[in-house]
Amino acid sequence: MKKRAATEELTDDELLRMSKGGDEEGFLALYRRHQGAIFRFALHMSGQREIAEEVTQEVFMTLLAEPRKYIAERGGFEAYLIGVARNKVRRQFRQSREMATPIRTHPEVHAGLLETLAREQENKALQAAILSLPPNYREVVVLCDLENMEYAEAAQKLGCALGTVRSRLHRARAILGAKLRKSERCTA
Amino acid sequence: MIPPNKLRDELQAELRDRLRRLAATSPQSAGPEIEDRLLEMFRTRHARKQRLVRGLAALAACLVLALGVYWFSLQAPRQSARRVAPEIPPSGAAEFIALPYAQSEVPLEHAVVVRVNIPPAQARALGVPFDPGARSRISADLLIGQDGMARAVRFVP
Repeated sequence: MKKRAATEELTDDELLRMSKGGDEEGFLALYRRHQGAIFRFALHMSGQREIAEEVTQEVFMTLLAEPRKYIAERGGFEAYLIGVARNKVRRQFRQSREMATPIRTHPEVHAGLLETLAREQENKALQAAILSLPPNYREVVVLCDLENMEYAEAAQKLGCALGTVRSRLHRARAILGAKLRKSERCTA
Repeated sequence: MIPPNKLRDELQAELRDRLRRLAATSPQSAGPEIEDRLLEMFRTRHARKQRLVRGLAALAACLVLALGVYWFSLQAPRQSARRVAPEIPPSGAAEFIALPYAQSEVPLEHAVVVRVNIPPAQARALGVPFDPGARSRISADLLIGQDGMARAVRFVP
């Protein structure tokens, strides 16, 4: 317990060094610190929990097998992991084209039944709209709008310019808005 | 009539709200079984790595030992040869051969050894078969008694 608390204070690079040396606590701390972001990214990119878990596992397996592939000078550790996750998700896209199933969300329990159903409907429509976006646009929506990441940080993680992130996000939001309006008109 | 800019802003704000709600209600992390599986992989991988390191260390130790044994086996004959060498009589230390015609009644009390160079023909005359083509002259030690007579000869190679 004491060791766990101590590992939480260490930097990613220090934990990675521990992990390379065979320290289980170091690896676990790294996993616990970053798995959420990787999982959510893969989940919103793929729309499937199973794929998101598979991608999360593969990302950390890559880290286990090839820890030297991460070079601190090239960017942050999480940016590296997101980069690996992006490649894995894209590979999954190529392997299977059935990535449009909306994610099962957890609606608030205290909300009324009608409201709950309406929210779920809204979420499903939004997820479907996100999943229909081209991968480049979807990535920026996932990172900036769903993960609340700063544009600069997203640009670093995606390995592109800040202006590119801005323009992609602008375009993606316009597409999403149009799609949602269209789906609402159809429902009405 | 709502101005288009305001409408667009309202729609964008609504979209942002809906995205925020979606983010809040979506699953936040992978299941615990992923952590367990990764931990198992980590342990297996590092156990294999440790076995490999231990195996390599043992192999290196065996190699060093084998090289050491080989080196000592090469050194040992040289050392024994060095020890044995002084025990081998020098080839030049042949015994004196008594000269048959020089046997005197006078007992040998004092003698001196004189090194001389003898032509092969003379050596043959002394009864020693020498190959005349081998050397032009032969070195020999003559044992000369107190009476000035050569009593014995020793050939130096």
